[in-house]
Amino acid sequence: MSNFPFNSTRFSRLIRVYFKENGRSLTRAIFSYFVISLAIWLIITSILIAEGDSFHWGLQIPMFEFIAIIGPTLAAAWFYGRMNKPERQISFLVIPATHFEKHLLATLMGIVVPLIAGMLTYYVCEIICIELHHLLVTPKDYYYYELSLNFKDEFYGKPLILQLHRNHILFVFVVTNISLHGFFSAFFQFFSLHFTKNLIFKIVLLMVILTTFISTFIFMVLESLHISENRLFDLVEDWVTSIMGRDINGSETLLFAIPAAFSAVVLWYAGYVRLKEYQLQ
Amino acid sequence: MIHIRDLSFQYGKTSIYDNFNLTIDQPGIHGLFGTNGTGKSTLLKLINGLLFPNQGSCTVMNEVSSKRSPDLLEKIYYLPEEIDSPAVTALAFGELKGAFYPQFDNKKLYELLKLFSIPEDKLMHQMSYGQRKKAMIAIAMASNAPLLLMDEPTNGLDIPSKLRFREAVNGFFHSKDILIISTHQVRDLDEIMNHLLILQEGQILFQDSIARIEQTFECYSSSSLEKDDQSLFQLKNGDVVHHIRRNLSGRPSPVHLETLISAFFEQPQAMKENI
Repeated sequence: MSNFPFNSTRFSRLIRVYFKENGRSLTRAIFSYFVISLAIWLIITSILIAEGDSFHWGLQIPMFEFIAIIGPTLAAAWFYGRMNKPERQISFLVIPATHFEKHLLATLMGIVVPLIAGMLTYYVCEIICIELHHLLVTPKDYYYYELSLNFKDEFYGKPLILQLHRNHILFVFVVTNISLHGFFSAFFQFFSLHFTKNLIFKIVLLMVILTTFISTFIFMVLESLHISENRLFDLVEDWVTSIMGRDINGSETLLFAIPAAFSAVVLWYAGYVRLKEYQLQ
Repeated sequence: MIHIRDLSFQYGKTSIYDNFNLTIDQPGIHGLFGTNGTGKSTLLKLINGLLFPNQGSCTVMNEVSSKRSPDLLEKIYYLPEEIDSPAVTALAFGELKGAFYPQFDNKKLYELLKLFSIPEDKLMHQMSYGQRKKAMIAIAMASNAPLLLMDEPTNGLDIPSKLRFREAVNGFFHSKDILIISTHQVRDLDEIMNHLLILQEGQILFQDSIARIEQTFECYSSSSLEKDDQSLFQLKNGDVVHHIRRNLSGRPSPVHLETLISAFFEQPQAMKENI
């Protein structure tokens, strides 16, 4: 077969080998993740119901962030992280496929599949908890009567995904979260090619240090230019309004989403270059 | 097939190879020997592109090995000392891997697994170390890759399995291909090896074909340590003493590999003077 960076037959073989070798552990991991996520959500819901406080939809956004975004982000370090044993490094590096195909496999299995699994886990957990909530509480709770009718129609006791098409705040929220997921996953993936021991701890530590350093730097630059953060948010809002033809609440969060998405691509490419230069540790 | 030119390689500050040159283009089985830490495994990893030279070049079939191109990788099969063992049967694993090697022979794999008595339904991660190793040897040999690299393949094998290994190499290895076996177990390669390569301190101490060695040296045994005039080196093994001397008969004479290799390590100058 040729040395062309991508060959669909070869790539499908890579996926097949991967699933045959790791199918069981992958299924076990996804199932465990689902059980743990559901258990946590049920515990929180039960506590809220027991306290007569069933502000259910308020749970959806943080749960979405934890289950669909943060958990799968950590999984991005797993693919290359499991290469901490020489025999696994050898097995992966000597398989006759291009570096591009191998990195694509790492991205598919370490970022895309966990994200989809996280989203599905979130969605199934959400449906179960909403049904439970409707069964036990609705519409007796305090917040139900406090909310306006329109708001109830839009939000109350409905899965987050069903609210996206008519609620732009949530849409922007999901786009921002997925962009950030892309960035953090690419960050984890890239540095998992550098560290072998205590991988997650080292990457998180590095991330905290870099975030502190970069945000301090940006803050200092903005201050020296006499530009306030609110002014920047306004600029983004204006830009989105000019594109969409109307004002969309929450669009200022795209200020984070755009550089995050761009950085994700850069980090992904850096990971590819690093894989090409990767030697047995 | 393999051309290494002025290669230097170091692990951190420890130099393993410095201006190292090697050419291997003769088909057959090459035994790679050397003392511990001399760089045998490193050499196989450099050939396979798992390690990159600090200086110099390593090309295999006219391709730079460190690029790890699929075209090159499908022509090399590397069996490391430590092996990964997924939760699949040996046959299934072989067939999966085999899809990447154009000349992979499933029938040969089946026969080799049978020869090594590998249970058909047992998953590889549930097998003993020896069983896994045999399964991996079978997969490696069934790949029919033009260049086969094996690092300590007989480590962890019991005596009957070592015999099966020799049988497998004798019966299933294509003589037009190259098989490089790095090992300390000289006896495992006795009578199956066609070429000898001895490394010492990052340099080639000796490299030649067994046919030429048999023309150059001869071995004989005695029960006494008394050295005759022509004996270049003696190796005491229990009550038997193996001697090596220059072959003056002009006829090939089977050499005792352990004695020959020990002689090169112990008396390199005397041995080289007689080549």
